[in-house]
Amino acid sequence: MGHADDPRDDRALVTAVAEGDSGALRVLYLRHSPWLSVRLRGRCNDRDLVNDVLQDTFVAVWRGADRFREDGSVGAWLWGIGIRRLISRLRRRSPVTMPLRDLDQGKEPAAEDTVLLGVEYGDMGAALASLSPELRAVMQATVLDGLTAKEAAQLLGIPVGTVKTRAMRARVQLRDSLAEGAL
Amino acid sequence: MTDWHASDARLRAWVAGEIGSIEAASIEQHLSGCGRCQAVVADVDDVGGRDEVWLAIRDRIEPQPLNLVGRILARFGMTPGNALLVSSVPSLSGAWLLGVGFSLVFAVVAANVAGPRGVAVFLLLAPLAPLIGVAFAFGAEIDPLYELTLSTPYSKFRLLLWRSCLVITTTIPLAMLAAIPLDSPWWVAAAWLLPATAFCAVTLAATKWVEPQITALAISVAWILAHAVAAWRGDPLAAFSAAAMIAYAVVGIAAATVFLGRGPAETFHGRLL
Repeated sequence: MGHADDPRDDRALVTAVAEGDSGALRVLYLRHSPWLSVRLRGRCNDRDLVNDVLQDTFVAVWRGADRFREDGSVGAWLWGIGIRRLISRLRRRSPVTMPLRDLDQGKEPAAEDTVLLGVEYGDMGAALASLSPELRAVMQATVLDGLTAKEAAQLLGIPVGTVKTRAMRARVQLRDSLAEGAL
Repeated sequence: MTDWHASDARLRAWVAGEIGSIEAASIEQHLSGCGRCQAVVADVDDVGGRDEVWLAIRDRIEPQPLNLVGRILARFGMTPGNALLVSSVPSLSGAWLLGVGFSLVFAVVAANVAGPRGVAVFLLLAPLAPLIGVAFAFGAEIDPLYELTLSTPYSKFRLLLWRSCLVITTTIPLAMLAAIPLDSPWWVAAAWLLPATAFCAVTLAATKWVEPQITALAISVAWILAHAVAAWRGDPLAAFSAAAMIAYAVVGIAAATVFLGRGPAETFHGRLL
C-alpha cells in the first residue's frame, strides 16, 4: 500500500487534497480511517453505520480540504467531522443502543493506566476516574470528544437539560477532587 | 507532541474494547495526533470493508462542478472551495427558484383577475419568498455540507450572511419583476420589501436560539393570520399602513443589531444553530 512511505505529513496531504489530489486523500484515508473507525465504534457499536460515517467523513474532507486551518491538528479535525456525522446519522434512526465503553470493569487503575493518564491529563485522569459513570460519560462527550451539550444529548440519548446538569455536577466534583489532591 | 507512546499491547486492548473508559479516552486523545500509534492501530485493526469504503468514497468524489452561482462568485475572486460552500445553499437550487417564480406569477395573475383583493394576495405572498429562502439556506437536514461546515473553523456568521444575501438577491428581483405587470398603485411593488427585510432579519437573529425553519414557519403563520383577520375586517391592506411600516422598520433594525452583534467572534468549532 505504501501509505506509511509517503513522505508528506498530514497537513501537506490536506493541502494537496485541497488542490484536487485524490492520491493524497487515499493516503489520509489509509492513515486515519483505522483509528477513527475504532474510536467511532466506541460510540456506536454498529460496524456498517461506522463505515458509512467514515465514507461521509472523507467525502466531506475532499470537498472542504481548503477549509482546514494550518494551525490545527488534522486528526482532531477528522474526528470533529466524523463524530458529528455519526450523530446526525444516529438522529435519523431510532431507537439506538449507545454502548459507551464498558465502565472500568471493576479494576483498580493499573500502573500503566496511571502513566497514560499522567502523560495526557496529569491529575485530571485520576479525578475523572472518581466520577460516577453517567457523569463521566457526559464529560467524555463534552470535553474529550468536543461536542456541544445538544450534540452530546443526541449521542447519549438523554435530554439536553440532563447533559447540562450532569456536566455542572461533574465540574464541581472534579474541582473538589483536584483541590484535595493539591493539599 | 511528546516522546511518549501508548504501548502496542494497550493499543491492541483499546482496539478490542477491553480497557476502561478513562484509559480509552487518554489513548484516543493521543491517537488523534500521533502517526506512530495510528500506524500500530492500522496494523492491529483488521476489520474487513476498508477497501469497500474507499471505493465508495472514490465514487463520490468525482469532480463536482460549481453551479452557476458558484461560478459567478469564483469569477469575483472567491476561492473555489468558498464558492462551493456558499453556493451549496439548498434554497438556491433551480427547483426552488422555479417554485418562487411560479407562485409569484400565480399571485400576479390573481391580482389582475381579482382587483384590490388580488393585490392583497400578491402582497401576502411576496414577503414570504425571501423569508423561506433564508430559512432553508442552512440546516442539518437539508445542507449537504452541514457536518463539514460545523466542524471547520470558518466563520459561520459570515457563511450565514453570505448565503442569506445570495438568497435575498435572487428572490427579491424575481418578486419585483413579477410585480411589473401588476395593475396596481406604484407603491405595491415596493411595499412588501420592508416587512420582507424585517422577517429575514428576525429569522437570522433568532438563529442564536432556534433553527431558522421554525422561526420562518412561525412568522409565515402569523403573517397569513394577520392578513386573514385584516381581510375579514374589510381592510385587506391593513398590514401595509404607515404605522405597520414603522413597526417593520423598528423590528428589522433591532433584529439586525442582534444578529450583527453576534459578530464574527463566533467563528470557532461548534454549533451555529
